[in-house]
Amino acid sequence: VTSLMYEGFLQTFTWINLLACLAGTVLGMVFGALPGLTATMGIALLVPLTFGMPADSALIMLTAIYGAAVFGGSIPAILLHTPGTPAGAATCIDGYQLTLKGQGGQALGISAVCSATGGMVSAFALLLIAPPLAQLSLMFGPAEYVWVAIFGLTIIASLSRGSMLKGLISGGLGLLIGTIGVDYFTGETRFTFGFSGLFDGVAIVPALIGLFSLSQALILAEERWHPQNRAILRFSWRECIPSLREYTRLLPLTLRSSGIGAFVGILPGAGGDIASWIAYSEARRYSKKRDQFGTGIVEGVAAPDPPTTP
Amino acid sequence: MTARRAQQGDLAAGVALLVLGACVVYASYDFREDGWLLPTVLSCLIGAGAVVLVVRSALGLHEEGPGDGGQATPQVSALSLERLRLPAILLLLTIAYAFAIPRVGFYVSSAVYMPVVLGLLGLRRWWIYLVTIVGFLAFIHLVFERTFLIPLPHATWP
Repeated sequence: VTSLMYEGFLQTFTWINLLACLAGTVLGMVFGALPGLTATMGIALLVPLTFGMPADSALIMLTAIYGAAVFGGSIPAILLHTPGTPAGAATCIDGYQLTLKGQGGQALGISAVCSATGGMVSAFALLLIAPPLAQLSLMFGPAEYVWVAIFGLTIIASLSRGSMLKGLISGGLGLLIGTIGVDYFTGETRFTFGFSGLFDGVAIVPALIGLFSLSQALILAEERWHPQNRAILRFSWRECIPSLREYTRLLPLTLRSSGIGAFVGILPGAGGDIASWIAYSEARRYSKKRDQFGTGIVEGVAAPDPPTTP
Repeated sequence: MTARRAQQGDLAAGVALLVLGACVVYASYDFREDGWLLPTVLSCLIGAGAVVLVVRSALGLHEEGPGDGGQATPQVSALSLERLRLPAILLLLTIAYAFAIPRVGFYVSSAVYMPVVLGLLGLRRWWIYLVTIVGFLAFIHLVFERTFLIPLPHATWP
């Protein structure tokens, strides 16, 4: 097995594979940065490009597309408060606040480095402990999923800043939106008002676009009444490269978030979007600066980004 | 944002949530079997939260009195019609755009919607209009309809 891994490792560094990786990264970032196009959609749309390629190059390209698309989703999340992918929603909270403070470049750099670290950790996790993790995921039945759902709802308590009541009402509204569409148990169509597009419920991407993009567009439209909300989008490339000291400081947080991402990623039905919220919530819970989360701190960007690339 | 303005917002949100909860309970009434149960329970819980929100904010406003708490700058405290005009127009335009796409097609509706929005947002240079609109539509056409053969909505009317 080791020799095969070594051979595969060497094969990765051929010029055609590096080129495929580069092309996949660029295409993935473009797809991820466009709100409404998810990483999975990016792969689905770009699969035809790989038909004429060798299998190893095609796999490298598809992996690069996925990883880069998920990171690409953080770019508009940080700069425009509009997540490019569902997984980038948690990054909006502190990322955009950093941009308002003029530290958008720093937030982008932290996001890129932490995403890359999370991607590598997840890749090694997949390589080394995939079989036991797969067995663990097979042990998950309905009861376990109920507890995962309840655990997800408890995140409301951690994320509700200022007013728990408003957090709980918001959570209730989210659950209520989840009842739109065909009821799985009775087959009843609920709150569709005759629109066939609502039979499957409200998909996460349109919901996020409505919640973040549309509201942000309206906020930007009345920007002259809120000069303090004007984003500072000018920054140099130098600001985008985090210092080694900062990276080292954030490494434990990044590794913890990566672990959360690897665990949540193996659960069928759960993905990077859920993992990023859990990682953000856990980072806030165990942080000494928990009161500053949401006001624009780099930990709020470093926490949700790594698990989005499992 | 002043405390008074936040409480006014909470009051308005609480009333809106109560109305929403009542509408959902009413709409759930006709659902067969147990399809009504979850929406009704959720609506009742949201309604209960909304009542607490309304009472809390009403008590807060009552304690402050009519003239307290308005110390913010006039720029941000005044919820004037002028301030709401542009976001409201944009929202209405976006709703109209969403309804127009299936009827007159993606390209026509986008070609109308984009310049109107850009104009409302204060763009005055004609070449930016041209580059943005033509570039965006050409990009969408090339990527989706030509490369990936994904048909975009075309006109169904007349």
